Amino acid sequence: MIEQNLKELEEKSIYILREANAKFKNIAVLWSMGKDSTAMLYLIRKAFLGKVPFPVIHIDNSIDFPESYKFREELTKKLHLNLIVAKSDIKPEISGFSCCGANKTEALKKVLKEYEFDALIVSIRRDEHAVRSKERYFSIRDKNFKWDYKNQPVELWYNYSSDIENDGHVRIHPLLDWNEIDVWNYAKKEHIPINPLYFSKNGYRYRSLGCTHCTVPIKSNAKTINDIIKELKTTNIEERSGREQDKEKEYVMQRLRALGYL
Amino acid sequence: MKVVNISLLGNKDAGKSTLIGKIAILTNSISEARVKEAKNESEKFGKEFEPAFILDAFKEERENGLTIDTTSVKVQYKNVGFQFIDVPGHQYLIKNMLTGASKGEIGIVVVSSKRGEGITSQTKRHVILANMLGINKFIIFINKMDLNYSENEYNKIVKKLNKFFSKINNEIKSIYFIPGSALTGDGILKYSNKFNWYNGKPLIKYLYSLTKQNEKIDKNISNIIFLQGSFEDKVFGKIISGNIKKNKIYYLMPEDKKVLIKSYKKNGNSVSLKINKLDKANINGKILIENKNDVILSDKIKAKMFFIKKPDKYFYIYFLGKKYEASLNYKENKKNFVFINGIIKLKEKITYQSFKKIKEFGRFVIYDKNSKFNGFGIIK
Repeated sequence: MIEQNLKELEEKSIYILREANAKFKNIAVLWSMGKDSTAMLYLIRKAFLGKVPFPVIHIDNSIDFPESYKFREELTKKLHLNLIVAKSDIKPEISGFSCCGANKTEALKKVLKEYEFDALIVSIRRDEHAVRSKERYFSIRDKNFKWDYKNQPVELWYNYSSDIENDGHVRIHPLLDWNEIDVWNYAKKEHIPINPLYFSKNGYRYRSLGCTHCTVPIKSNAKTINDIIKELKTTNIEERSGREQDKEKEYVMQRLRALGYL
Repeated sequence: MKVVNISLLGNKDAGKSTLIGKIAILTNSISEARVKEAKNESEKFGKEFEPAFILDAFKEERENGLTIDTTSVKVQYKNVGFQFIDVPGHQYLIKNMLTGASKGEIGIVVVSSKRGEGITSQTKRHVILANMLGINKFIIFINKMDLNYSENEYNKIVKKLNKFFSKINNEIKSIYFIPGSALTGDGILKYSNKFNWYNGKPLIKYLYSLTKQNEKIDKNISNIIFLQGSFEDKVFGKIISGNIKKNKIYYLMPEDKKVLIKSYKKNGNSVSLKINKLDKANINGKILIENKNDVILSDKIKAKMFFIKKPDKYFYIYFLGKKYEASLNYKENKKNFVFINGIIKLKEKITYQSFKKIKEFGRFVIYDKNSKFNGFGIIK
């Protein structure tokens, strides 16, 4: 696994965040209490004089882990976050695709409409999934949240597209170039608080976090960030192997993203 | 670790995605799950294993055997990281190719040695475009040699391409030719004895040596900062050249107004500044410069341009993040996919420089009169 230069990654992410600030009027950040979106909050503080000047949205389907909720309350207080909890329903027929796809997207659509956000900072990375690897730094969504992946805007050099169509919004992806291990190295360097679920308890830990119904833990004794980094350097297993919704059907990730799911 | 960006180039079906997929597998840069998924999907399409499926993740890409959009894979070799950027080869997907290639520092041109394929006008167009975008180091991977292993075929292609490259003559620093097969892996990390007639190195070794070459940085250019908007009492920007000096007079361009940088904070080249007497409302896209003579202030720009659709008389350009109305007097027969050397006129003055001197100030994106992407220009 390639460990990139953190200073360069940070510099570019700050540049992207500040570009978004210059081009959009009403920005929000999506937060799942996972390591990537938590690291993003710290990157935002670096970019904006120590503050998180945008509302932070948690799409809450009420079945997240109790540790995640506790982590949410603690960090919200510590960083003085303007937290918006967007409640999403769980339908009786819970399954990866319809749960994540329909429910979370509906909740997000409501929040975007209510607050009139025109840009969303999202913490996806290219190395998470081959479909995410096709993304742009500024990625346009139409008013139905559809991702027109066959017709993405041009991004030459440092020019990012900010022309939104009526009622659409733009997803900002400052972490695209970061690898899984870069996020951990950064968390270690910057002393970023991390959701305790990532660390081993009783021989198991979570490498990737979803909600309680769809996330499967891995066997591991990694109790600290240093342990995790060591573990990552020797594994050839995919980060998201414990996420059931990715596996369900073919091209689930493509379909979910095209329909507007994160 | 340093990561070098490498753009793949070449017409459709030359084997760009397959080559990257094979490199990723041979260097263990892809998780088992992703390889397995590519294998399973390949079988569904009646193939044994298609390495291109590691890159081509969209259903439509796999069904149709092509790359629609750019993506990339990071690979480690010794102490260097390579980011291989995949691009579509189809002519109508050129805008996605440009998005990918614009990030490249080295170009790998994939040419098929199969009879009936070979060098096409799209191969040549890719090379010219990549070179215009700033790539001046190329490795030509002459692919599909597993079909004939013929030294003759290889030499024929090398000869043709050498001729072509000598005509471009635009600051090209290095060219390497290598034979190989993305499918078998020959030429990537090493060669089988079927290539005993070839005396050169495999792809990875040439790439590694190219990354070790250092680019000369012009130290004579003064401090230039490109501004990105404001936040509270600070202004954000990116350092293009030189070093910031506190309490020194800078010129805000294009208005040519004197300002003073009172304090600053740096994260690499991303900076936040405290500037006195600055109207923060309209600074996006403007620049702060120490020495005005390092840039040109004008509403006329001499440039080499590429247009996807034949150019209108009036259109737009994006320069340093801002949109400008432009016009071009072009009298020749108007066609699509055309290269034009000309002078564009803007409705207002901007500060710019030749691409050779300061690349961030020497390039612009072209949009047509309906604000649809239509190409790019490099300032002479």
